[in-house]
Amino acid sequence: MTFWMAWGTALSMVLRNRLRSALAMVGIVIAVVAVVGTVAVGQGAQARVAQDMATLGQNLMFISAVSGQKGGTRTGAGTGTAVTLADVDAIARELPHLAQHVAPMVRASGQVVFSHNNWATTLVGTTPGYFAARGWAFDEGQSFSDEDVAQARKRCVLGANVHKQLFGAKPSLLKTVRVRGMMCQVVGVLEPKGATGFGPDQDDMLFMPITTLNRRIVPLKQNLGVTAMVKAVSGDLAATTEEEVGKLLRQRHRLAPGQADDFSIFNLSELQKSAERQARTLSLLLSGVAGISLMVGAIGIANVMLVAVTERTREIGLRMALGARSQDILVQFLLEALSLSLLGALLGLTMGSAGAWALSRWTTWPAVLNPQASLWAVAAAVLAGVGAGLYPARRAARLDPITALRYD
Amino acid sequence: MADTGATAGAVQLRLEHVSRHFMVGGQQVRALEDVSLTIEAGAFVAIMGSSGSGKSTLMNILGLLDRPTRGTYHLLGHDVAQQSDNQRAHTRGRSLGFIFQNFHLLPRTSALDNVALPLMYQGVGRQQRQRRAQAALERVNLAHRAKHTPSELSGGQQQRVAIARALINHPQVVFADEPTGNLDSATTQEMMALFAALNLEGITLVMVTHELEVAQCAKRLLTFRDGRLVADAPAPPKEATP
Repeated sequence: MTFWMAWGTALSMVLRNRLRSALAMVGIVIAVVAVVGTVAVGQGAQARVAQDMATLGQNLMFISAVSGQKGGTRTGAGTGTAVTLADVDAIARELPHLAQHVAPMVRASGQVVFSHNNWATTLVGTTPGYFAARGWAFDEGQSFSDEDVAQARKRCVLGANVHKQLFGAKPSLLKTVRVRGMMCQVVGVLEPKGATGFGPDQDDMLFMPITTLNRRIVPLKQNLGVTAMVKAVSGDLAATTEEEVGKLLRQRHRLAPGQADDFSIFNLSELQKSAERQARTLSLLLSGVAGISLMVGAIGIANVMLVAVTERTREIGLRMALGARSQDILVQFLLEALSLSLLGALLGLTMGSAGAWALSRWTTWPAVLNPQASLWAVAAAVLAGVGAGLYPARRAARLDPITALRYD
Repeated sequence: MADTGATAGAVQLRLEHVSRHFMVGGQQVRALEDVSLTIEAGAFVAIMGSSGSGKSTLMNILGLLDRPTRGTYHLLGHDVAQQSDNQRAHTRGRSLGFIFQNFHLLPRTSALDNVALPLMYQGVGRQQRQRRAQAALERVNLAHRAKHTPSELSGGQQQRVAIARALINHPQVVFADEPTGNLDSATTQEMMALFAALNLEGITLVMVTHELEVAQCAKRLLTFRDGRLVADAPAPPKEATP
C-alpha cells in the first residue's frame, strides 16, 4: 500500500466518524489555541514594553531626592536631603568610565506664548547631555550648547507637540517665544516620540538651559532638588553604575554606614529586566498549561483510537486476509491518529491566530503572532497525537488475522 | 511465483503430516492431526465435517492465515511454513482469494471500493483499481450495483461482491468458508453455478461446507472427523431433483 493510499484511507475514516473525531480533537485544539493565542498576547505586551523603553532611552537611570523624609528625626546639619547640581557634576567627573552621559533635570510648568497662540506645558531645565542620553534626534535645528548653559542664555528647544500648538505647520526655528514672560529663542525642535505607558506626554515639553530656568524663571536655591539622569555605558554595566553612583552620593552626602540613602535611584534597565523575568514566568506557566492540554488531548486521541481498533477488529482481520501486512495496518492507524491531531492542531492554529488578531483589532492589547512558536505548537500537537496513536496502532497490527476475522 | 503450478493437473498445494495443536484453558486441543494431502491446479474440492472436525483450521492453514504446529506445507512450489509474515501476506494478496460465510464487506463503503480493496495493498493506482473492480463486478453480473453500499444489497448480492473481491487479483486458488451458509436455496444454486463457471476458467477452488448438496457441486470431497482426514473421494453425483 502506498503512503498516499493509506493517507486517503485514514482521512476517510476520520471523516466517517465526524462527531467522534471532533471530540477527540478538542484537547489538541485547546492546547494549540493556548500556545498560539497567549504567546501572541504575551509577546505583544513584551514588544510594547520594549518599545516604551526604547523611546525613553536605553540603560537610563534617574537619581532624585527621597521624598517624604521630612518627619521624624533630623539627621543633623550638613546632611543634604537632595541631589544637587554639584552631585551631577561629580558623577560626570568621577565616573566617566561608567556614565556615558549625565544631565541634571529641573521641572516646572508654565505658559508659552507665540504671536496670538499660547499653550500650557512642562518646562524642563537641563544640559545638552539630556538629548544625547535619551538618544533624541532633532527634526529641526539642534540643542542649546554648553556655552548657553554656562551663560544662562535665553534659548529653548520645543517638543513636537509644543511646536505644533504654537506654530502649526509653520517653521519655528530662531523665532522668539515668551516663556512665563521671558523672551526665548527657539534653537531646535525635537522629533516626536509618541506617548508611552510612563509619565507625561514626552512631546509636550519645552527644554532650556537649567541655569536659565533656575535664574530667570523659577529661582531655586543651589542645593535644592534636581533629578540627575545617567546613561550607563552598556546594559551589562547598568547595575555597576547604579552601585557606584550610590557610593559616590553617600560619600558626598556624608552618610554614615547603616544610615539610609537620602536619594533614590530608578534604574530603567532593572525595570526592563524585571519585565523580562515576568514574561519568562508567564511563558513558563503557559507552557505548563499547554503541556497539560496536550496530554489531555493525547489521551483523548489514544482513547478514540483504542475504540476504533476494537470496533474494526474484523475489518483489520479482513484487510490482513486480503494481503495487508502488519506495517500496513500500523501505518493506517498511525495516520488516522496523525490526521486527527493534525486537523486539531490546524484548527487550533486558525482559532488562536484569529483570536489574537481579534484581540489586537478590537482591544488595546497588542498581539504579535509568532510563526516559530505556532510551528512548535503544531509540531508538538502532532507528535503527541502520533505518540498517542502508537499503542492502539501496534495493537491493531499485532492482531491475529483468524481471531480478528471471527471477532464480534 | 505467479505462474507456478498453473498447468492443469500439476500439484498446487501439498500438505505433509500436518498437525495443528492449540492450548485452550491449559488443555491441548488437537485441531488437526497428521494430515497429508495434495490438491492439483484446476481442482474443485469440498471439505466436509461436523463442527470441531478441523475443517476450518485446515482452511486457515491452506489460506496462509495460520501456521501448522508440525509438518510441511508447499503452496505453488514454496515451503510457506518457513516464510515470514510479510511474504505470506504478499502471497495472500496476489495469489489467493477468500470468500467468507458472512461476506466480510466493509460497511458504508461502496461495492466498487469493497472489490478494489485488495489492490490497495499491491500499490495499484486509483484509476486502475476502479477499472479492474468494475470489470470484476461485471464478471459476477453486479456492475449495475457498483455504487451501492452493502446495507443496500441482498445477501446474494453481497456474496457476489465478495466473490468479485476474491477474483480481482486473478488468484490461482480461491478459498470459500461456508460461502452459502447465510444464503437461501435459490441463491445457493446461483452461487454454485458461478463457482462451477470459475472452476471451468481454471481457478482452483477449495470450499468448506456442511451442506451435502453444495459439496456435490465440487469434483472431490474430503471428509474430516476429530482433526483427521477420514475420506478422500470424488464428490458423489447429484441425485436427480424432481
